[in-house]
Amino acid sequence: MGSRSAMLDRIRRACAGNGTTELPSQMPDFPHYADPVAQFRKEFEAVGGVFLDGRGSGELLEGLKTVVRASDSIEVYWESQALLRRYDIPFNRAPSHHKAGNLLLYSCHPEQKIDFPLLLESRSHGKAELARSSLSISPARCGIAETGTIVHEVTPGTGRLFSLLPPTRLVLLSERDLIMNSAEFFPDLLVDSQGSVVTLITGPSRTADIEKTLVVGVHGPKKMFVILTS
Amino acid sequence: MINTAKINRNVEAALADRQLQRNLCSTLGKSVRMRDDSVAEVPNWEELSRYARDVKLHTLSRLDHYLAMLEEKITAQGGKVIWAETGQEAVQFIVDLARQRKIGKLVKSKSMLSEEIHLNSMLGRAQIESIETDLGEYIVQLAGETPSHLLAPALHKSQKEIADLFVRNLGMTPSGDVHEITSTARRVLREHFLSAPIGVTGVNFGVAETGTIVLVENEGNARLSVSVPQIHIALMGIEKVIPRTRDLAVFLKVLIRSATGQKMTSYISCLNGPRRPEELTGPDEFYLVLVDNGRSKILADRFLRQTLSCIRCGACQNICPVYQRIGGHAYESTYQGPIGAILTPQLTSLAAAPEHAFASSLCGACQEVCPVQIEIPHILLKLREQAQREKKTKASQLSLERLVMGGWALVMCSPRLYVVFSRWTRRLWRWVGDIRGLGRFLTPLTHWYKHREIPELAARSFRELYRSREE
Amino acid sequence: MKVSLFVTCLIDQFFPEVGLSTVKVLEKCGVEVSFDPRQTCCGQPAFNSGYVDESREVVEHFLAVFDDSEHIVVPSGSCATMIKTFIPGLFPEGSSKRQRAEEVGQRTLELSDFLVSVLGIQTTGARFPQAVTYHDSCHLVRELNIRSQPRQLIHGVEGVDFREMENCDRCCGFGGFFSVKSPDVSAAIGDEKVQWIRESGADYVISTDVSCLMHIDGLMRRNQVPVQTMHLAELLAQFDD
Repeated sequence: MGSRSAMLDRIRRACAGNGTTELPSQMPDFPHYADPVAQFRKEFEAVGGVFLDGRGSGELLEGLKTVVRASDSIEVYWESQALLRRYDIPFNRAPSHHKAGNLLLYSCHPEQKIDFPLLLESRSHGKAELARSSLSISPARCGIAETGTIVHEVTPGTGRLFSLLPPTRLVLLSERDLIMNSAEFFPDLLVDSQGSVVTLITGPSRTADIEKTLVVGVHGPKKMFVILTS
Repeated sequence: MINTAKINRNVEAALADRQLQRNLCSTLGKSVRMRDDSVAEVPNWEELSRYARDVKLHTLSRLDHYLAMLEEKITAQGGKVIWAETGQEAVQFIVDLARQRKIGKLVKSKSMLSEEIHLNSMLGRAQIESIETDLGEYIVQLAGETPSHLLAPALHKSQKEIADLFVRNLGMTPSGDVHEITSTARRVLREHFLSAPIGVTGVNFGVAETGTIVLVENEGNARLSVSVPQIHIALMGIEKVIPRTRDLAVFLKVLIRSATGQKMTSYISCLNGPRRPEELTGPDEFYLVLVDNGRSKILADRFLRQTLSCIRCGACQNICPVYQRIGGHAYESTYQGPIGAILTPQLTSLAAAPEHAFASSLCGACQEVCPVQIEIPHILLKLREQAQREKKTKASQLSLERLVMGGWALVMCSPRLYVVFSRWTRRLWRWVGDIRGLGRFLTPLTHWYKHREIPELAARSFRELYRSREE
Repeated sequence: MKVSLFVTCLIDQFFPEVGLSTVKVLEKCGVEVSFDPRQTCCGQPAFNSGYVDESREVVEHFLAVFDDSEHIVVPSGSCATMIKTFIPGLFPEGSSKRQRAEEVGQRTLELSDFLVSVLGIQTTGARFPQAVTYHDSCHLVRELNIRSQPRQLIHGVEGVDFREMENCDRCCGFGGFFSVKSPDVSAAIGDEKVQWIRESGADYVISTDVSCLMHIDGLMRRNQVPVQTMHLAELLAQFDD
């Protein structure tokens, strides 16, 4: 590790005796909103996201149907069984359903007709499997009203590819997890997180590399939906 | 005399390239407007910007401390930190790792540092294929060129040129529009993502208190690079460390609005080491390569140190009147435009890049838009001073310009000489009659006359007129 | 009130009428103007090209001339910037020369700033029934943050038809030696500025710096653009004595 000590030494010498600037302690103000849901929705829609209000009775399941139809999905990948339980989404296990271990839950909808209770099976969570899938559904750790941003984290039992490879993405966001701005989020970036990745997602994948023309869906998901739940 | 001939030659070519002029004109104008509108929405922009600047200056003044902290946290998460004094050392680490694992291909997301250390060509020499996955970088790589802008590497190319490139290289249908180009890239690059065992990325911010590596992007190729391959290697200049996660709220806000005018980019990835055992997918190994490559040298000067605060938003390039006219390639360096003019000679040496500090009208527009308030024009002046001083120490380089400057100082220090000199110049001007005719043969008047009429030297100076007015 | 005029070497040699207009305007505003003929240059040409030692010699002469002046008025944003922003930095921190330079800098004001901020002038009584536009010079607007003062004074001119041009504060491309060291790009930047001037529909382009105007005028004359350049002082002096 010759380089390490040599580099740190050189840096230490370069820093020495040159005075220090105080690390700012007062965080500048970030915006607050009287109606954070409206603000979130406005910003999320401005970046091309589709917002569905699932707070009313039965609206969540209706929202799910809408997204499945809109994405032409036959197979829907659920991040975990806990997600289904948390949102009271009725499901049955298919006879072939094994242990949930390193397997991924998905529900199958022939003719793109989603019915409840869902019929769930398990599939391998491999690259190839996910690359073929069309819709993934996961919960948001929180939503940021200021910018219409969804915060997603990789949790035990899930992985990095899940929310990335399928071309359509649905996120379930609880109203109580909606915060005003990123300054409320970043100080706690790792406090609740046990995973290796936290991703802030603001709309679908996009590029403007060709003559500044906006094109959606260059690498990541092309469509993004959020259902707000109570 | 500091020779700006190299840049001037490129300038001539750039100004004559009508396609380039059109591309620069349409894209940069749009970028400037988007940034201005976005910044105008933020009432406390100045405060945010000052906060960001102070965090950077503080961190730079204790850089050893924060780098050691970053290393400790990353190691604790199961990552490994590599210290590279030079670009060569950084490249060598990647080559050795790839060879050891018998890997012949890697996917790469956008990283200016990787351009700075010529990673792709060095890997190519080691028979390792490196695939650029950012659309703009991919286009530039296909064309066998280098990026011409910090954020929009293919800014110099038109849609038509890109479509032709895709038809030739990827068999795209000739009628391809932007969407066709993009979906072709998505299809081709997706295959590379699924087959490459190493993903290389840059780093926008490295957070010392948590060991978090932050990547800012719109396309999702950086997310793919850190998610699909088994190994993730992040290349980070030592100046990219920041102390706390809370600082990210400010940095992301000022960076993104300055860069693209968005409120937030599509993806911000905050990475803490490789995948945890209980996570199903993600890389098994994570390496952070900390690269110095001339940076600690810049750190040693208290004033010039602020150069390292740069967060690579590209706003100074968009607004720069010189860059707007000549584009990035004319600078013949990795970092172009105003930030390049101060960074390039400091990373290398003034002798290696003497003309950069002089290729500016010092208009200050760059500093006005800089989200971390780097005093670019003042740094340019400092570098000009250093360049002239370096020349002065080489006795052999006693130039005509220096003699003229010495003579000028002599005249300007003596009111009597000043009056005599101005009287004789005026006389000469009259004798020659049409000095503008003669001007064509007199440097620097030749250069002035090339595009502009020469002003008349007044028949009588102000002081003469003022005196006669008093009398 | 007494002020010392630093007329600048460029005005002294090339544009004496701007200096005379400056005196005329100041006197109209009830100011007693003195011109010290020992003055030469502020040292900027050498400073901007990196010849700091040569510049410092000239600066020491400048400071010796203006040491005792109560107010120093300069009809140039660029030279005012040199004096206020850069000259102090030529001397070591804490030195007596540095302190003297800082004091001289504090007492120095660009013409429009002096007229508006110190004297509180609304109008000089000038009348100029023409269409004019205004070019913000880089140093004035970005180093000294003077934006509104020249405009206030232009609006105070009777009969003037003021037309703000697009990108009024973008560089004209002059940049001192840059204009001859990189003539092509300097002129290309200037051409764009000329385009914005034309599009404003003005017959006159006003600025606080003869250096910018000299460059813009050179381009406009070369390309037969029917717009005149005029220093702010000349505009403000459009009244009968």
